[in-house]
Amino acid sequence: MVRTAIVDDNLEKYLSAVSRDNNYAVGLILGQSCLGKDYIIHFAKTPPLQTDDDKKSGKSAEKPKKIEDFNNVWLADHARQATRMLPGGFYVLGIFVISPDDVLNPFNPKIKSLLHSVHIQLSSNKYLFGSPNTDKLVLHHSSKTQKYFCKSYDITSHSVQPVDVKSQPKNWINIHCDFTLNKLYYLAKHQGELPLEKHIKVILDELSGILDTAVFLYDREFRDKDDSLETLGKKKNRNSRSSKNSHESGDGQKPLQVSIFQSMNSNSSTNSDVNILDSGGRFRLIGKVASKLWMQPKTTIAEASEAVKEDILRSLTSRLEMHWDSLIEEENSEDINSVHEPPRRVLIALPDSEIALSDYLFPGEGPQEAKVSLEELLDVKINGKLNITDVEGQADATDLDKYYKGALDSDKDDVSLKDKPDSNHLMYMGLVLSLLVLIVAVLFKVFM
Amino acid sequence: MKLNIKISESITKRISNLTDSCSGKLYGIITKDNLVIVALHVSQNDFDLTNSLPSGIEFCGILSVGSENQHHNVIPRTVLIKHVFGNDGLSAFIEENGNYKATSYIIITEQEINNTFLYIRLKGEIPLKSEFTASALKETFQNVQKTASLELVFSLLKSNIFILDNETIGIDSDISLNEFCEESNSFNEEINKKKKVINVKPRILEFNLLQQLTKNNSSEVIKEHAPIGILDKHPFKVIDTLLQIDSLAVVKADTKIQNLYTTLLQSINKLLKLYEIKFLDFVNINKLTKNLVYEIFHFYPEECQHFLTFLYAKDQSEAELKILRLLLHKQLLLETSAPCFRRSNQYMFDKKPNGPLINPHEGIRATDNGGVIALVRGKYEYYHYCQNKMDDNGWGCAYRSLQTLASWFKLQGFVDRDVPTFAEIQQCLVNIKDKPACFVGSRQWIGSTEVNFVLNTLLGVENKILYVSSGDDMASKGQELVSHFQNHGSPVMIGGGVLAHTILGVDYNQQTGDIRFLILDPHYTGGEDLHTIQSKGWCGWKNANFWDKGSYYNMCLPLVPREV
Repeated sequence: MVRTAIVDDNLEKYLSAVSRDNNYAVGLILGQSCLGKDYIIHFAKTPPLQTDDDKKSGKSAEKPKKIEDFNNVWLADHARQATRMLPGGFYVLGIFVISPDDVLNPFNPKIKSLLHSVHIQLSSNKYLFGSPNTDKLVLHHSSKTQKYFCKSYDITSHSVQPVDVKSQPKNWINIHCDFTLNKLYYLAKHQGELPLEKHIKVILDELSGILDTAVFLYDREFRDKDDSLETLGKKKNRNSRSSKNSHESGDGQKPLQVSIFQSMNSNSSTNSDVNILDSGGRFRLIGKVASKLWMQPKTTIAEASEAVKEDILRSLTSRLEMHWDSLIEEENSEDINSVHEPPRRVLIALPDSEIALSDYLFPGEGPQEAKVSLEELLDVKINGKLNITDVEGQADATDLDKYYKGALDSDKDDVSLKDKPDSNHLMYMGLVLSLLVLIVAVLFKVFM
Repeated sequence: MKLNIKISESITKRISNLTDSCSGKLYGIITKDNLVIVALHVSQNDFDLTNSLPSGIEFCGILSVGSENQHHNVIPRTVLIKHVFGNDGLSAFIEENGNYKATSYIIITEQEINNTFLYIRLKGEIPLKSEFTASALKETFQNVQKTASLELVFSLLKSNIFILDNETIGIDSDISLNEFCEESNSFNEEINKKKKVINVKPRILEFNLLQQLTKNNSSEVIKEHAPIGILDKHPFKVIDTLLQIDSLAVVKADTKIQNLYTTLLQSINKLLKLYEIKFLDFVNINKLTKNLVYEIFHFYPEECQHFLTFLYAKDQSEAELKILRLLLHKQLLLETSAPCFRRSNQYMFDKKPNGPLINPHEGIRATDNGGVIALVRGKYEYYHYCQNKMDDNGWGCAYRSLQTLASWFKLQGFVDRDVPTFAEIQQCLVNIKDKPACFVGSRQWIGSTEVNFVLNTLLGVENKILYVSSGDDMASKGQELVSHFQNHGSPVMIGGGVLAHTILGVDYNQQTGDIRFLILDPHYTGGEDLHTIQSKGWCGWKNANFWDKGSYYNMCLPLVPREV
């Protein structure tokens, strides 16, 4: 069966628009795969490469003039940052390329290397769940003929396969889940000096393990893992005896509520006999992760649950990465008590779509910052004020006070708040950092 | 409404043997208009049995044994059970307007109790992370209990039925437990029984523990915020562990599913209390150790007929625990001749699906010899040919009889060792130089002497050897066998010619000199089918002709220490 990519009018219009303005361009294909079909929700052109010096001198970025001008590291980092914004179940499925001449017949080696770079970058953090498979889409849109063709390329087997592109409307089933996090972690004495990032890794590993064995309920009912989401409403009526809230869920209006029950039976009889230890301190991660997902109706319960799990971990790892990146060296490994406030998740509706993507705002940031990242990372320009939904909320003074009392009352004076008052520039932080990486990488290439 | 008082037979039995006056506490199960008193605890100090009893069995009154005019403080909403020396039986009183008023009661058997109620066993684990000081531990245990009631979910084992506070998922909330159990056939014992069996043994439903990680819409609005991290870099001495949860609750069989949550939660709280007491003791002693691992043991002593749950430190030997056990025996008015609370006495919840049968002689046709009947006491496992897919037909009978004897010592709690395998038996005989090295793995049979050596070496059991020169003389050992079963109660191995058997009891008529032997035959090669074993005589009463006139016989009588 030939793979099919599902697009719509808006997506086609976007490609045409980009190819009118650019002879050469590259960008990301964002979407979800289900039963051999790729449901594309967005194309995001990668901004042209612009160095820091260029920016300072007000020099506008140079547009690529040939396909070899596309920068692998730049594109891969764009993919990583765009992935952070995607709800669970959505991925960077591949790339689109705009050029006057056909690049798919024969398959251009530059495209192979671009896809390879993207895959490597997206796989570097397993909790980002950036690249679940190796078969990537490539959509070529000719800036000469305004025609497009799509193929898939498997970066391990190197096989190139044709892909049908169809334009049709898409239905989604909306899933909500509010995940409560409350993890206390003791730092072993000799680990006290390690950067906090290392400790967080342990917490993420633990969470991942918990979610792997947890029970996922949909609208407070247990479902067979092979049931598809679209059957949930139907089955419910048959089984109404055990259902308390008999609201209409078949119409797809009301989101499915996911409840997660952690299994408290690890049966780990091997659990260490040594349980009294000298600790160098403790770290508590507390708060909620709000997840909103959109899944294809034919998605199975097992796949949907996996998507929820990926969403929670992807969201956590994204905001924590952003947080570490915002800290200077000694803040990360300092020797004092501190409250760390990573950026919180807000939702931004994708224009002309029911799907909302995530952005992460540091304390003090607002819609203006979200607007910038939307423009830079997703190539979406919003006129006027951007609507964002604050799904999680910021911890306020009373919360912090409560935790000081609970956790830090031993020494209040040492506490320093780790939210950045001057974090306006942090939106650029990611790009600036990647730029540094890029420069190093380029230099490396040049001198090798 | 009048409260009907029912007293467990096990309580009246134990009290009627008393010769010293004493007082104690009573524990019972209160349902709508019944109070079933199932447990007693004779104790002067503060040591409280409540947390060791399944939730649902709670303090309900006081026990007084001695003279007529003992003074009692009247505790509201309790009963007083009195036994006055010289009087028959007990008298019951119930609190009314600040005084104890006489009332009637009936005695209820174990069978009736276990038909009315059933047990729920809840398994799981709860993380405990706390600074290792008494005050911090107390606070942490309080917090664990508090969050438990908000977040814990119970699920019926191997099902998708979940019980939450005010909510059940996957089952109608007003279905009752026994309705549900009948539908799903949840009790293993009841599977493949043709006729309706009356429960004597407690029926047990197993539940698992889960924790909600998501907020339920209906739960009260707790102010929430995005995740933040709080780093506290002070050095602490901490305890970071997973508390194993394995708790019991007792409920009426017709309890509605929706009413289970509180009882189950209470069973966890009782267990947490047991942990807390142990941990606080430990902090206060301030012992320098890195081990603080307690294991949960459930006991169901025959004389008590209810469950008791205790935590034993993993690194504490049975010998170290002896004082505690002795205290328990005394406070529960149990015989001190055989252990009830050693680790190996723990209640066997999961019967191995094809494991050996336990006590196949129970329910066998009685003898008609009219003599003194003395039988094996306690439990043993029936070992016979061809078990564990091993073909020992023709040579393994004495090994099997030996295994039956060893199982008795294990099940009685005297030894903590598993029943020795054929290989272990042979290796043991080689080690003590009774047999050459080539004996291991061979198919050579053994006799009573070897059984004696092995029991002595591997289990530390002393044995008495009886010898008769002909099967005809077996009756002459009648009196000695009677006194063995009366005083020791362990099964006896007998070897003669090429055959070995196990003797489980005798019926010895002193007037006529006639004797019957209750024989357990290890030569049975079939499956674990009690009906066949009993009806075909693989376990049954035999007369003296059973023994071969032309053979001599050696009997190995294991001696049993009198200790707890």
